Amino acid sequence: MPRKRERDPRSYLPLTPRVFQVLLALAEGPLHGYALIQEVREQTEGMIVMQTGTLYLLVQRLLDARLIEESDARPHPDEDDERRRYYALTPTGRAVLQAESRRLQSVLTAVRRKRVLDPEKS
Amino acid sequence: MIALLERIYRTLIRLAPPAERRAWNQDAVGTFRAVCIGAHARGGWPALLSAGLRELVDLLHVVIRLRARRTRSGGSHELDPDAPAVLRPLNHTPGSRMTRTTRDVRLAWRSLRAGGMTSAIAIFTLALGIGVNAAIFSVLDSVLWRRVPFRDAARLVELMNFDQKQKFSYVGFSPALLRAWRDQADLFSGIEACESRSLVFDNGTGAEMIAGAVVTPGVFRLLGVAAVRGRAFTDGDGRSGTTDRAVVSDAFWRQRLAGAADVIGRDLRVDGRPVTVVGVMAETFRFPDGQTEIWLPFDAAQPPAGVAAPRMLTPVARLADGTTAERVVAEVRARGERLNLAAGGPPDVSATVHDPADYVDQRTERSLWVLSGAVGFLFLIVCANVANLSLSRSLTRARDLATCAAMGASPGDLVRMSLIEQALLAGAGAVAGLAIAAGALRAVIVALPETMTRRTLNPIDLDMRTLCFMLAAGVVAAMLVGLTPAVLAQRTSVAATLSGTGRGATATRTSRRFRAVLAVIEVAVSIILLVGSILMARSFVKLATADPGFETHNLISIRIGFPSAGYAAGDVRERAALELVERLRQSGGLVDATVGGLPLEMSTIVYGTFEVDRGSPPPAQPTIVPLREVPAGYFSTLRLPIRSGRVFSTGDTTGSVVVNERFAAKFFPTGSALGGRFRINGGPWRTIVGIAGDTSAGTENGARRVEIYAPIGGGSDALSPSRSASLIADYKTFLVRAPQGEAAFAALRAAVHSYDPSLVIWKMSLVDRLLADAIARPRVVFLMMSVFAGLGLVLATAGLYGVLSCLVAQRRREIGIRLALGASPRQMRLLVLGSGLGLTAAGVTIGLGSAWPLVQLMRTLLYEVDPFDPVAMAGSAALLGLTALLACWWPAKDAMHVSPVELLRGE
Repeated sequence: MPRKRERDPRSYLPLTPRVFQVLLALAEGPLHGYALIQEVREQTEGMIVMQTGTLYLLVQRLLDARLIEESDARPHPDEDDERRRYYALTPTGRAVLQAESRRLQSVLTAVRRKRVLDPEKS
Repeated sequence: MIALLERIYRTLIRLAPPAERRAWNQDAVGTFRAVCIGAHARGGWPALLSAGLRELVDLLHVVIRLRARRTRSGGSHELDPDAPAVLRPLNHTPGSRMTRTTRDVRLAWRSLRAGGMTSAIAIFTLALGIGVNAAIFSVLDSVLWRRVPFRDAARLVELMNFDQKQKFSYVGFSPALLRAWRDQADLFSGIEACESRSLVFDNGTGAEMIAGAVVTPGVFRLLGVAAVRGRAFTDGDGRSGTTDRAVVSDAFWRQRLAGAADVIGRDLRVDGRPVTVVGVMAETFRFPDGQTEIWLPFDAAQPPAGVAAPRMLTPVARLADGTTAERVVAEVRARGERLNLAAGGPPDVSATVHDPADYVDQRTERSLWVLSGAVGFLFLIVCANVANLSLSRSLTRARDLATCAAMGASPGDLVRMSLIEQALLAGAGAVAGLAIAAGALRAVIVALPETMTRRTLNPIDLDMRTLCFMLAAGVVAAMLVGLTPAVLAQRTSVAATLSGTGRGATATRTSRRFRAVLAVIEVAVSIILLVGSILMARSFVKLATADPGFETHNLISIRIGFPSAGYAAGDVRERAALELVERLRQSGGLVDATVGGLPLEMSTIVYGTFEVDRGSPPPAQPTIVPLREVPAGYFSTLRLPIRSGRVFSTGDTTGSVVVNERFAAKFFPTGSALGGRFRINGGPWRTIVGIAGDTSAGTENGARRVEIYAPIGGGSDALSPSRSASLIADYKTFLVRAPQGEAAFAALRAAVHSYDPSLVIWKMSLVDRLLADAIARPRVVFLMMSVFAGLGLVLATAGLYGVLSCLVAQRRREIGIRLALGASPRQMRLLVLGSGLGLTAAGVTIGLGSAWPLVQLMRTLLYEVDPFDPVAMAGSAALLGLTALLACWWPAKDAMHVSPVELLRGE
């Protein structure tokens, strides 16, 4: 089967907050569904709490878009549950995450330049 | 709770398109469980419930989105990785039908939210109605309607013996007869069999009785079920050398083996011999009934040597391909007698087939129907109530609608908006109803006596069918609730409403009439419920306070199994029973002890034609009469009065018997039975030396049976249920009167085991409690009916109150003018009270009229209460009248305090 042409990571931008958070959560390594929910909750300080249904819909889309893949890496057998699936970033997924992070960074730079967050101005 | 939520979640996932369903199933459910456990750990039950509900709603949302897209894109997978929009929210194409609907839904949602408390009450009421109905529906569905949960269940039948002379069918095939039927390959493609048995299980600390079954090894394959751990039986099990294998139920594994991971290969002691666990069945597997905990193999084709064969097998058969059920029914009847004789069975006995799901006794069926009728009526009240609420809201919203109309909305638009709003309401009610249904179902399962649910082979749960039922209930509710406001919305007069002179508008008048009709319906339906529940309550109270005929206070019944080893002979058992009675009597603190069973348990029987020596009517139809073999002290221990004559002495061999009054009246209708003689099937003559009082059999209809008491040890010819091939030769019930009640249990146990440690104590309980258990079904029906009737009454009262307060609000001006013209406040109060009570009277009349034919259906469930019981009719009318008066009182008081001056100033 001819391999599909790799899409430019920037064509996915801007990501929705949830997609970004899920990709970010996977940045450090493969996670299973429940761990994903918890990681997203922690890294957004509770701002984004994902429900299982939404998460799996999103995971399905990300799998279809080949931004993530099912991982073969398993944890230590004591902690493992064979029914669990682990998800990991694909190279494309990582590139998209980097592109989005870069975009956000430039946004943040602009925010800093205009001193939006300065206490005196608020 | 988590398991239940998980089950609902799993069911919802099944609604998703196949691709997602396959991809998510196990993983998503696992994650869902983890979320639930996490929530429970963080904040207990409330957190669990809220997280669970949020998750369910979210999943439903996702499923609907997936399904909606699937239909529009014609089934193909729309998630093309090349489309950049894939990672963004779904966009709507402007101007499509979808947009309009979405907009309407959004509007309706906003309007519902604006309704605040009213919407919340409406949703909660609907949820209650739908939830309670769904719970009862799933019980009914599982017990009465659903096919047995086995492969191709429509072609499964069970075989029974059929007595051609007496025209009745009964269970029990011998292995030889089973083999004979297996040869009829043109009728059946497979026949397997099972026999229920009480087995003695040695749990390490002592023996206990468990329900088990002996099955032919192919039965699992025939039913199309597999073990969840290990394996079910296969060919080769249950022959010589392979009988020591067992399959256990999920409950047995979890409760008695503590869910041990190494259960397969575990050695158990069952019925005094070692067996090895080879498999664990699924939690939902119920066969031959829901109590069975352990299955033992018996290969009927190659019976194991040295093991007594089961004699009471129930064959389960699968119809052969190409035959019809009608043909099989006819052929089985035709070939039965020949096969039965060839297998060594009695003459005149053929066979018959029946549906394995068809085991529910009539009283259970009738009880369930009455309950479902009650919740159906409750649903009607709920709908009327919510329609009423919506109407009162639609009055206040008349202005909004008029504005919409003025800005160009067509009447159709208004109707659609209103309908969508109601549909949304009903949908929200159905989703919330799911939670209520789950809770209600758990409560119902706990409340229902085991006798009502044991025989069903289906698990009782919220399955797909129940969810469909809830959906249908939601749609019906939306239609019932939504149409009225929709029609009224259409009639709204724009000019009148906007100019503020809308008080005389048709819409208001029509809606007032509508609401009055709704209130009458609510009252009428709730009185039907009330009559039903009062009937059940009266019947139950009579049943519970009925005189059992003997003194039950502090009476303890102990059911003891005599093992075959050492007690195989009947006279040995009788001697042992008498010795044990003496032993029990001598143990400290007891008043008295005896043996011989309770009136409420089926004892040994005699069966045959009765021939009476005096006044002799010709021998009648063969009759079954309980015959209890008791010591002389039986009557004094039970405080069962001897009405005339005397008691025989223990061991009397002269044929003396004591009969009860009913026996005397039945067989000696002309005069005193005392001294009379009778014999059964031409056997020895028996002389009646005493007549004992009647006892209540402790059944739901309070039936008082004919009884014969014969002296124990007299070598009687009573039949006792056969207990072939069991470790236990026979059971006997001992009765002990101990002033310390339950506190005596330990001492009694010790006394029995000091006599012989090999005796198995099956059941020890207070007789008072046994009597209460015997009427558990009427109690549950009565309690549930009361709850439903109470809910109905509250809702109807609320509806009436709503109608009247609205009436006062609408007629404020009229009342003000009347007051200004000289009417007294008291007259105004009477005016309002009068209209309220008028509505109630109309409702009560219609309700009592409709209750008349309905209570007929309850006749068989009632004990000593006539369906047309005047107390129930008058009582419910009075109760409803009183609550209606309460509901009318506050609006009437309001009417008294209308100030004409302020009212006219406001004009």
